[in-house]
Amino acid sequence: MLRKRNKLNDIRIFFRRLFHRKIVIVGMVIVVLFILAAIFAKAIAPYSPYEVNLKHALESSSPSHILGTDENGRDVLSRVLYGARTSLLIGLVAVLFASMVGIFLGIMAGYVGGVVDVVISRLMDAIMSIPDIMLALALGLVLGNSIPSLMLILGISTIPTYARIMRAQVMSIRNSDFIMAEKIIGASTWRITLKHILPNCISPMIVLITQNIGNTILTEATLSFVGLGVNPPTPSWGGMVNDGYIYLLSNPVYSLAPGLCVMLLVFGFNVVGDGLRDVLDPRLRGTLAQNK
Amino acid sequence: MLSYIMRRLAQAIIVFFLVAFFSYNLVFMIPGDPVYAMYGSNITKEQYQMYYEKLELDKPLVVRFFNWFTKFLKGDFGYSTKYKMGVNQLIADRLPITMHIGIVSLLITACFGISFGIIAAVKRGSFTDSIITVCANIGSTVPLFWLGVVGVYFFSIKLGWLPSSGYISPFIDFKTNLKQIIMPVTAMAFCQVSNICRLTRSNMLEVIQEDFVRTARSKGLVEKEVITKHVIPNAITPVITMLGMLFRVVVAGSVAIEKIFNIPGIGQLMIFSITSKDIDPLQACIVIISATVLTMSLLVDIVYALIDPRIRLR
Amino acid sequence: MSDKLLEIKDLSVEYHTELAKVYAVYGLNLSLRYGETLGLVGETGAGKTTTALSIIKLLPKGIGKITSGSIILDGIDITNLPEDKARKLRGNVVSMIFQDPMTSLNPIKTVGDQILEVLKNHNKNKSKSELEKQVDYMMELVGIPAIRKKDYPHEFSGGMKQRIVIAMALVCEPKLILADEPTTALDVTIQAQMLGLINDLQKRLNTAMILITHDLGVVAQTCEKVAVMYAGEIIEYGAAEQIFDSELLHPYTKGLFNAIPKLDVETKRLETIKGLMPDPTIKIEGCRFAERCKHVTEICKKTPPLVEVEPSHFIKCFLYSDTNCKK
Repeated sequence: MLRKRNKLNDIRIFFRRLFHRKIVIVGMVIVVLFILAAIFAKAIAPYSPYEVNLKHALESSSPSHILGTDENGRDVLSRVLYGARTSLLIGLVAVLFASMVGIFLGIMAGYVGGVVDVVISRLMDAIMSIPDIMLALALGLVLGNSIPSLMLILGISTIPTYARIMRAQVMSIRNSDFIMAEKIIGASTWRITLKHILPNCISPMIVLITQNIGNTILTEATLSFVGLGVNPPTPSWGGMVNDGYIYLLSNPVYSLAPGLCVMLLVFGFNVVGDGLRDVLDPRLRGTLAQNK
Repeated sequence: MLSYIMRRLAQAIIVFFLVAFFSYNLVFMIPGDPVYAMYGSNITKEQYQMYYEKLELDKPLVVRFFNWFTKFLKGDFGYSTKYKMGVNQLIADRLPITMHIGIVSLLITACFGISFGIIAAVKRGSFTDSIITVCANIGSTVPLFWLGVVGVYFFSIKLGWLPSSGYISPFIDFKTNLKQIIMPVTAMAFCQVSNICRLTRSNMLEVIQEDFVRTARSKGLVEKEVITKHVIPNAITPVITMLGMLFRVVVAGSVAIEKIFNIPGIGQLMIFSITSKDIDPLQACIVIISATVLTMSLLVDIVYALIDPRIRLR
Repeated sequence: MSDKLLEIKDLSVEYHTELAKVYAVYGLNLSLRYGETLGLVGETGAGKTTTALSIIKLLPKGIGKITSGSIILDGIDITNLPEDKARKLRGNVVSMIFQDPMTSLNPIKTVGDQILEVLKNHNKNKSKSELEKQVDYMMELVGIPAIRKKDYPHEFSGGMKQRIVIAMALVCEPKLILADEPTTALDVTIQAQMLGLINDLQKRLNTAMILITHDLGVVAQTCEKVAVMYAGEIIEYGAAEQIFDSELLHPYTKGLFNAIPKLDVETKRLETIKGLMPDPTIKIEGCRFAERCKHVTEICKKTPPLVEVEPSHFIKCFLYSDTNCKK
C-alpha cells in the first residue's frame, strides 16, 4: 500500500526516520532546552548575572541559590543560564560564517580547479596544520576577544573542514555523466553549480554543520577556560570552570556545573548530527567515501 | 610512489612557508604600532628607535620576512622578553614534555580505541556493542578541560591519590612522574578513544560486508581467522591515518591540560606568551607545531602508501 | 551406498528480517550424482543463490534459516550441521565461486597466499613446500603462470581474477562446486574461455558442479542436466538435450525459450511472460506459476505433481498429469 508522495508525507517520513532512535530525541530535547534557556534567560534567571553580593560569596547550594554563589557573591545558576547565550551565540554564528565561506571556497576550488584550487587548498592546509586552539590564541592577539571577534576567529579555524569536503563533493560530481549532459545542452557554469551541484552536497553539509557547532562550543569554552576567550564579567561556561577551579573545596558546583552544561550541549548537537547522518546516509555513503 | 611522496613533500613545504609567513606577520597585524605592541608603550624615544631598527621595520616586508625566516631555519628562534632567555632553550626544555604526554596518550588511545572498535564491530548489535558505542558517544563530548578539573576534584582533593600539578622529568624521578602524568594522559586519551573506536568500528563493519570476506568464509576458515587475517588488516589503515591526524588534537589539548596541571610544556608557553605579549616564543611555537603536524601527516601518508600494495606498486 | 553426491528433499529456507519473513525456497527437491553437472536456471529472485548458500551453509547468520527438509551431501546429513563441522566441508568437500571476481579477492594479500590459505586450512599435516607445489600446479591448471604467485589481485584483469577464484575453489579437489553466475560479470569473449576452463577442470578432477545462471546459452554449453527454478522450487528437471529440444516443457520454461530471439524465424515482437514473480513474503498454495500461466485452470489451485514426461525428464505441472484433461 503506497502512500501518495507529496511534501507533507516526505516531511513526516523524514522525522519518523530521524527520531527512530530514541537517543536522537533526547539530543534534540537537550538542544532545544538550552536554546530556550538562552533566549529566556532574563525571565528564568533568579538573579542578574552581574549582581555582586560579597556577603554571600562562595556559598554552596541553598534554596535561594540553587547552585551556590561565586567568589563575588553572584548566583551561579543565573550565570550558567546567561552563559548558554554566550556559548550558543558564538557557536552558531561562527559555524554559519565558516560554512558559508568554506562552501564557497570549496566550490571554487573544486569546480574552477587549476591555480585557484592549488591556492585555496594550500591555504586550507595551512590553517589545518595549526591546532584550532593555537590558531584561536594567535588570532586573538590580533583581533581581540570581543564576542564578534571570537565568532570570526572560531569561524576561521573551521573553514577548511567545509572547504575540503565541498571540494571533494564538487570534484566527484563535476566529472559525472549528468553534468556532462548539462554541458552538452549548453548550461552555464553558474546554473550547473546552483541547480545540480549544490543540492547534491546539501546533506553532508547539514550533518557537518550540526556536528561542528558542538566542536566550536567546545573550543570557545576551552579558550575562555585558559583566560583568552570571552571577557569578564560576561558569563561564559569555560571562564566559570576556570574561575571556580581554585574554589573547588568551598563550592565545587561553581566549577563543575558549567562544564557539565558544555558537555550536555555538545552531546545534544552531536547526537542530532548523528541522527541526521543516519537519515541522509545513503547519499553520504556514495559521495563522502570518495574523499578518502 | 616516489612521485607521490615528492608531490606531498612539495605541498608540505609550501604550506610550511605560508604558516611561517602568517606567524611572522602576527605582530604587524595587531592594531597599533608593532614596537609598542612588543615592548610596551612606556619606552623612551631611543629605545623605540633601537627596537625599530631591531625589527628592521625600515625594510620592505618581503626582505624582513626573508631575514627572519632564514634566521629561523638556522635555528635561531629569537628571544623571550618574559622569560629573559633564548627561545631555543625554552622550546628545547618544553617541547619534550608536551611530546611525552602527547605520545603516551596517543598510544593509550590507539590500544583501547582499536581494541574496543574491533570488539564492538565483531559483536555488532549485542549488549557489549551498545555499551561501547554509548561510552564512545559520551567520550567524544566530554570537554577536556572539564575532565581535568573533575579528575583533580576526585583524585587529588577528595581522594588524595594523585598530585594535582607538577612535572618532574621521568629520568630524575620516574615514580613521581608517573603519578603526575596519569591524569593528564588519561584525560587526553579518554577524549580521543571514542573517535578511534567509532572509526575502527565503522571501518570493520564496512569491510566485513565485502565480497572477499565472503570468499574467505567459503574457504572454510575459522571466523576468528577471517576477522584477523582478512577484515582487520583491511579495516585498520584509515585508522592509522587518523592516529596521525590526532597528533594535532593532542597538541591542542596540551593547552588546557598544561594549564590545569601546571605542566611546563609548549601549551603553557603559548598561553603565557600571549598574555604577556611575548612575540618571539609565540611565533616559534606556531611554526614549530605546524611543522611537526605537517611532518606527522606526511609520515602517515607514506606509511599508508607502504601498507597498501595498490598504491605502493603504482 | 548411493551414487548420489547431493540429495535435497523438500527444502524450505526462510529469511527472517525486521520487516518480514521471506520464503525464498520451499518444497525444493534436487539431486546430483558424483561428477555430474547441473545447470540451475531461473530469474533473479527465484531462490537459486539461496539454494547454493544452503548447501555450503553460508546463509546469512541469524537471518537465513533452513526451516524444513533435508540436505544430504556425500552421505552426511548437513541440514543441521553445527558450524565447526560445516566449516571443515567448505573449500574442501564443497566450494563456491561467486559472481563478481573484481571484489572476491583480498586486495592486500598475494594471490598465491590466498590459494595457499584454503589448502593450509584443510591440510594441516602437510608441509608448506608440498602445499606450495600444489598451489603452483593449480595455478598452471587455470592458465596463470606460477611465477605470478607473489602478485596482488589488482595486478590482474577481471578474467584472470576469476581464474584465481576458480583455482582457490578447486585446489582442495572438492566433490562439489557451486558456481553462482561465474561469467556474468565478464565480457562475452572471456565468457566462452571461462566456461571451457570450468568444464575442463570439472571433468579432470571429477568434480560435480551446480552452475547457477539466468543465461540458457551458458547452460547449453556446459551442463549435462538442467533444473529450472521458479519462485523457490524446481518446476522442471531433465537432461540438457531433453529440455532444449523437447516439445514437452513446463509453460514457464516454454516462455523462457520463446523469449529468446531466433535467427531462423521472422519475429516482429519478442514474446514475454506477462506479470512478475509472486511476492516471496507470501507462501503460495498450489502452482506458483498459475497467475502468469496461459493454461491455468481450477485444478492449478492444488499443488501440481512432479510428472515424468520422458525418462528422467520431470515437469511439475498438471498439464502433463493424468488427472488433467486439457492437453
